[in-house]
Amino acid sequence: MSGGIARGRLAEERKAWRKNHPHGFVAKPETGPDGAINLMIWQCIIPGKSSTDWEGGYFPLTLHFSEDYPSKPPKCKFPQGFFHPNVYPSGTVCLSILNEDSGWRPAITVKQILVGIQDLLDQPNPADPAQTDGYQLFIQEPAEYKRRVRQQAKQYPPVL
Amino acid sequence: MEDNKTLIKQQPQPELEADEFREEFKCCVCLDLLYKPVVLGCGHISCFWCVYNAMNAARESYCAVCRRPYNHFPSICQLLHFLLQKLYPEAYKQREKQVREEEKEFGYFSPQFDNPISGSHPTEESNILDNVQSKNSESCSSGVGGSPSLVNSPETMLDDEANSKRPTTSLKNVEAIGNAATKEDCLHDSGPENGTHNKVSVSDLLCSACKNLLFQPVVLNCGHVYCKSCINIPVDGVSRCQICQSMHPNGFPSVCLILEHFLEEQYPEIYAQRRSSSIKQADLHAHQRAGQPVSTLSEYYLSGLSGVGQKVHFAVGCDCCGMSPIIGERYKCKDCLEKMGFDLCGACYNAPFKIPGRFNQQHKPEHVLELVPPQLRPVLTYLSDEDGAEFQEDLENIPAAPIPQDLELVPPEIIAMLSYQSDEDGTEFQEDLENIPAAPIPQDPENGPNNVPNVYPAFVMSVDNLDPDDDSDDGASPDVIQECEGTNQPRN
Repeated sequence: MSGGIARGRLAEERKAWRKNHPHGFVAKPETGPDGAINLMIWQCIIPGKSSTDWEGGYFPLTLHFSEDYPSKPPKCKFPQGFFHPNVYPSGTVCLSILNEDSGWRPAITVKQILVGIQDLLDQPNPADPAQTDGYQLFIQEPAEYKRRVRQQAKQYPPVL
Repeated sequence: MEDNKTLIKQQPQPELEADEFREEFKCCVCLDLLYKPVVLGCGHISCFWCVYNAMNAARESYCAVCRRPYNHFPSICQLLHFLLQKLYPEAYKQREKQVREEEKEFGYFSPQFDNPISGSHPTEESNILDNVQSKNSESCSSGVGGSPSLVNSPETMLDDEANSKRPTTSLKNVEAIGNAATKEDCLHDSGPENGTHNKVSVSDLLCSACKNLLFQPVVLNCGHVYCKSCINIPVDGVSRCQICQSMHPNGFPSVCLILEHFLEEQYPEIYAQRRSSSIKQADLHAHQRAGQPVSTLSEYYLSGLSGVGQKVHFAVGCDCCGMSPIIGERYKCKDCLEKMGFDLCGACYNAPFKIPGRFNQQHKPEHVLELVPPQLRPVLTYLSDEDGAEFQEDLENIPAAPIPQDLELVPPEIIAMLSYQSDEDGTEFQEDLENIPAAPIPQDPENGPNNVPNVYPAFVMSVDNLDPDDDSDDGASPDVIQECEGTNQPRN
């Protein structure tokens, strides 16, 4: 039985999220032009943590789930060119818990993913660089890095 | 099979709101009420199908909660199954209906259980096959698996257990509290779940060995539940279930914390008594507690894949001990007609087995089993459906190094798969990587070159996947993110 558990699980995730989710975060399945809901793609917003350089930014993140979810992690993407040492130029987040072969476990929920990525924003992992720009500034020019982060936070003001 | 779109309207989710259940009994994979729960050696629980579907066809699998590696699909824990059925009759029935529909759709079936009494001792009943058969036909016609004998009195329970072959060893801890169970037999009504609890009694939660209320419950691969202190690991390191004589592979099982919390909450007094009396024994058993290393699993499969080690039978599991994929000899039933087939590993073929298949197969003793060499066919079938990508990715992650010199041993298809490189994700990854200049990663003279990654991130991560200890046995705690975050794989 290789029946897709993905949709059932995502429906439950959505239910759980509606019941309770961390403040400032948004996570909802994509709605098509015809009003149909696509559970396999979620549009999310991750707020930058307060008292960090990321504060004030509300960063859009898209979660792409596959039919193998939750055996496999979703692919998490910021907008292309997002500035962060652990984000690939394509926007894909590089994080151990999102890697099937290192840290991913099917028990990790959407909420945990989003909170984990929020943590990653202010605590980049220099051992796992994914883009040159962010990585080199982070290592070599902390002041400039800070400036760029703050600038980026301004680029993503709260929606609404 | 389907495209990536789903219309919520097409798939109405049954609303269970009115029938809430303990958060702890939510399966961490499907996030629904646990159905036909399976307990892994690490003590974590998921539904039968949630575990099975997440298992790897080519090598060892990882616990959905703690990533502990395993390669035996445990039998359903019937004690938990009937506990849940009693606690949440409505929600459980709904799950049953839902799962049965899915099973019909896919043509694979999970085991059926008759009633709590025969159910709690699955393998000692000689007529289990008949039970299963009659149950199966009955449930097909009625559509609902009613359980007429839900209310079992403690007496019948005890009688039944008395008939079972009581093991003669290792049961020295039947103490004064032995009878405490009957005193506090019925649950207090103070349970948070609207009184359904009073259907559950201590007699539903007894250790298979000492017959007391379970204390620090551990669930063996066969699904039987014992107090941690009631299990002995003999010198050869393989524990056997005292009831069904099944082997419990891969080391000492960890306490099933979810069940323990439930016991502690529902029977605080008895549980406290059990605790105080077991402290005396703690030292006695201390030396047995260390689990056996399971880190060799990946080596088994790697060497098997590359043709140097024992044979590995892709996507085939043993219907007795649950080993999947089977390492070593495989015996296939020629007479079982079920889509799932019926297979045994060498050890189980040579031992008298009593379990009627993991997937409700109607295997009979007179059926003929034949020795089957590892086949590529199942793999190719697997690859051809939409799950193929997963499989290929899995193979991709296997280091290419151990390909043996004697290539004749390895089917060319396997070699092709081992060196398989690009799938959807792969290409993007490659793209991403190409954008990173490999050479001029700045070196901080103070830290020395060792702290600077000299491999691509992708490879850093894939190297990590063979580290079996990278997650300790913690519960499914919400703060786990921080933990993982902290150990974001810095490699030296």
